[in-house]
Amino acid sequence: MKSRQAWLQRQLLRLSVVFLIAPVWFLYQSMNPVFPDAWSEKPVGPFTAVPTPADSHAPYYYDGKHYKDFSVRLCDGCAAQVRRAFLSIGTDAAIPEAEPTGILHGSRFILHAHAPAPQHITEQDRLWLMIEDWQGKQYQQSWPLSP
Amino acid sequence: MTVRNRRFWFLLHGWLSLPVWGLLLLVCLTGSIATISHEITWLANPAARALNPDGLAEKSPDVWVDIAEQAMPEGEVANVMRLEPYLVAIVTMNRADAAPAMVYINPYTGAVQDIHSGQTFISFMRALHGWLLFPWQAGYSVGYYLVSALSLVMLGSLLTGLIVYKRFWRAFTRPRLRTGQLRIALGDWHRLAGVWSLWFLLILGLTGLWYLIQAALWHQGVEFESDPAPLSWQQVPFSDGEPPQKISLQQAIQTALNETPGLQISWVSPPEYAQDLVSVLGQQERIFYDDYSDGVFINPWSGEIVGRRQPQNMGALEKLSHLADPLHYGTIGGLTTKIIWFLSGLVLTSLLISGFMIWRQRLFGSGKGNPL
Repeated sequence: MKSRQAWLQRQLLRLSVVFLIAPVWFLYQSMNPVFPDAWSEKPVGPFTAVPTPADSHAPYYYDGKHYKDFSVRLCDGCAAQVRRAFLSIGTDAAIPEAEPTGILHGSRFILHAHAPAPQHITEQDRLWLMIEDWQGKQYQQSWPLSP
Repeated sequence: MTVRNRRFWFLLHGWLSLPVWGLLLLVCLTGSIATISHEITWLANPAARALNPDGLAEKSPDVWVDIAEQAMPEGEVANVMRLEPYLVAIVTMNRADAAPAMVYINPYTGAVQDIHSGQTFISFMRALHGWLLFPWQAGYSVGYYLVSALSLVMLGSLLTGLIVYKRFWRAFTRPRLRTGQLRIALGDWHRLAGVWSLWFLLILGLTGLWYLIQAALWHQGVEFESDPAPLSWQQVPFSDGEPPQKISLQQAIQTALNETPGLQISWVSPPEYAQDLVSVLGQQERIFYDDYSDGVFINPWSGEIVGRRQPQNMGALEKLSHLADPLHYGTIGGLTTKIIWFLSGLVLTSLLISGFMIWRQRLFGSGKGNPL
C-alpha cells in the first residue's frame, strides 16, 4: 500500500515539475512570434487597406458571440481621415449601430479590430471593411477568407 | 481528535500541494521577487532612477508628454505611466513599423534618460508570476486561472495545517526550533514558520481567491466597472473639410488636475477610436486603494469631463478589484511593507521546500532513493 502511494506521489511530483516547462515554452514563443501573412492591399473609396489576421485559428467565442482578430494598415495619413471603420465577417457588410463590435481602434500607424464572425466560416463568407470619413461618406471593400 | 482523523488531515495537507508543488514554488519565488521588482529596477538600471539632487519640484504629467513628443516627434503617445516617485515616468510612443518605445523621463529634471523597447523586468516578473507567461485569449489566460487557483491550495494547506498542528498557538507563546537533527529542525521550522505566516497566507490566499473570481468574471464578459460608456455616435462631430480637432493629451491632463486637485496621476491613455474617452487615472491618498482608483474620463472632442472614477461610486466587486492589489503586492505601507511582503514570501517558499523535504524523508528515509 505504502509503495503504491509512494509511486503515485512520485508521479504527481514529476507532473508538478512538468508545469514548469510551460513558462519556458511560452517565453520562447513570445520571443519568436509567428504572424500570418498580410492580405492583399485593396482600395476602400479614397483609402487603401491591408488586413492581417492575428492568427490562423477559427473564430473564438466571447460573451455570447464569435470573433476573429485582425490588424488593418491604412494608407499613410489615412487613419486621421476616418471617422469610424468596422470590420466584420459574413455574407454581406453589416454596420453594428448599437454597440461598437468590430470597430477599428489603435494608433495612426496600425489599427486593430475584433471582427464579429459566424461560428463556422463558409465559402460564401468574406471579410468586410466599412470606412466612414468625416463628411459622413461611407465606403466598403471585402476580401475572400480563403485567398 | 482521533489518531485516524489526524492522519487523514495530515495526508490531505501533503496531497494538497504535492501535485502542484513545482508551480507553487515558482509562484511563491517569483511573487516574492515581484514585490520588490521596482526596487530591483532602481538598483540595476541607473536610467530608470528618478534622481533629484537639487530638490526640484515634480513636473506635471502634461510636461512629460511634451518632453516625449519632442524626443520622438515621429511617434504618437500610446500611454503615460508612473509607478513610483523614485522611478522615471514612462511615456510609451507608438511608432511606424516598430514596436512601441518607452521614453524614460526624469519627472524632476525633465531629462530623457532612455528610450526602451520591449519588455521590462517589472512587466516580465508580473507576467511570470501572474500567468506563467501563458498567452491571453479573449478575456482569459489559462495561466492566470492556474495561478489564482493555487489560492485554494494555499487556503486548504493553511486550514489542514492548523487542524494537524495540535495547540498551534503555542508557536506564538513558546516558539521552538531545535537545530540538532535535520529531520527535527525541518519539522520545527515548518510548523513555526507556518504559524507565524498565518496572516500572510490568509492575505495572499484571500486576494488570490478574489483573482480567481475576477478571472471567471472577465472570462464571462461580466462588466463590474462604473466607468462611463464610450460616446454615442451623435456626440462625435462631422466635418465639411479637415478632420475636427481633438483636445491634446496635455489639455486633458490639465482638465483632470483642475477637476481633482491632488490627484497623483499614474496612468493616462488617449482615445483609440472616435467614440473613446481620454482616461486620466491615479490615486488620492487612500492607502488601501490601488493607484488607479481615482480618475477622470474626458470627451476628446469637447474637452468636457464625462465621468469620474471614485471609490465611493464603486460597486462591491469594483471596490474589491481596487483593494486586492495593494494587499497582495504589499504596497499599502510603501517600502516597509514591500520588504515585509518580500521576506514573508521567502518564508512561504521555505515552507514549500521544508514540507517537500519532510515528505521525502517520511516516504524514502533520509538519503535513500530520489523521488524525482
